[in-house]
Amino acid sequence: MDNFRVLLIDDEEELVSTLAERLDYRGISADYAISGDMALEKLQESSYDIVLIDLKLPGLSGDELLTVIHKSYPNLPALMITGHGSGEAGDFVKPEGAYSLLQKPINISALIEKMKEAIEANEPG
Amino acid sequence: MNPDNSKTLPDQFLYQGLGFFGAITASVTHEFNNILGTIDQLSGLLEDLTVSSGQEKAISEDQINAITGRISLQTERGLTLVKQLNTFAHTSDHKATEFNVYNALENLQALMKRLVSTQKKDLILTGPGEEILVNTNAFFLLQALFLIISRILPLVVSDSAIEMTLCEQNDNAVITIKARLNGALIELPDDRYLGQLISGLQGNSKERFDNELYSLELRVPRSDASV
Repeated sequence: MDNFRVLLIDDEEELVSTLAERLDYRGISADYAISGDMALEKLQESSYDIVLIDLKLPGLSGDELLTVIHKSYPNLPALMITGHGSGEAGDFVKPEGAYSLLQKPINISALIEKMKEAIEANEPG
Repeated sequence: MNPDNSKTLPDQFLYQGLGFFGAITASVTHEFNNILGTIDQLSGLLEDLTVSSGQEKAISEDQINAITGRISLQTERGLTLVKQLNTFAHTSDHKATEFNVYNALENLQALMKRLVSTQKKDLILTGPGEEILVNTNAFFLLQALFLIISRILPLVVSDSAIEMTLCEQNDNAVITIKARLNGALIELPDDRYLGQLISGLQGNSKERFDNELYSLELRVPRSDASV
């Protein structure tokens, strides 16, 4: 499981586009969206193995978006990220249906490992 | 930070004042986290390219310049935010001081940007070319405007803007807040504390809500009125 497709969803465009560049660089096909609406459009246009969603999105929040995504794509694994400036990720409640909740700033190696883990855990059998 | 009229006014000043500081700093630190996270990813990208240049083709000067340019933009963004937060923090230094109202509103607009945009709304500021000076408590003025905007924010129609306008009328600086709200019969909560803040500014306000269009006019005496 070294090559997979991920959709990154975060309203901080420079952050998410750079993260996508770095993942692409590692052979992971990464696409990004800066809003919930854009993410839903991308999901209709292409297929992904996993989504990474920021909890704080303008309009449709991260956990609301996750609910919407899981209605249409129930088998698509999701990781959540939070940019809260203090506290551990465990201080915040992982939305139901998400595989894990990660804290910003994101360590790319740890992120890749967590994404692989989530995809493998989601595989049937 | 809902107004709690059951608290005594001194309690309210402490509770609401700290709440105002808290809301602004929470929002700004969230933005700092994004800026630092972006710089972290950009420096990681530079490292990725540097490491690979030893294995494959060399990293070009253009690639280095492009990435360092992106890092510089984020650094500038962070420095601007530090300056805005620092200016805001110093508004509580003096009970009253003379200041340019437009500059204060511009700072508030910047500091509230994330709070407003996460609700898919915008805060627009327009003002006159020339400066309008007031001699009052800057912290109270910003807090009053923050409370007014926060009170209507959840009710503002999505993808629309709250308009904040500054002008001068006679001897007053007049700040108008306008927005289109959801529903025609919305009851805005009564806020005794907000009234006290406005009195403390030696000002007065007039609130209207007509056919979904909300407006509030806040008048504060100009200090340069006789100039």
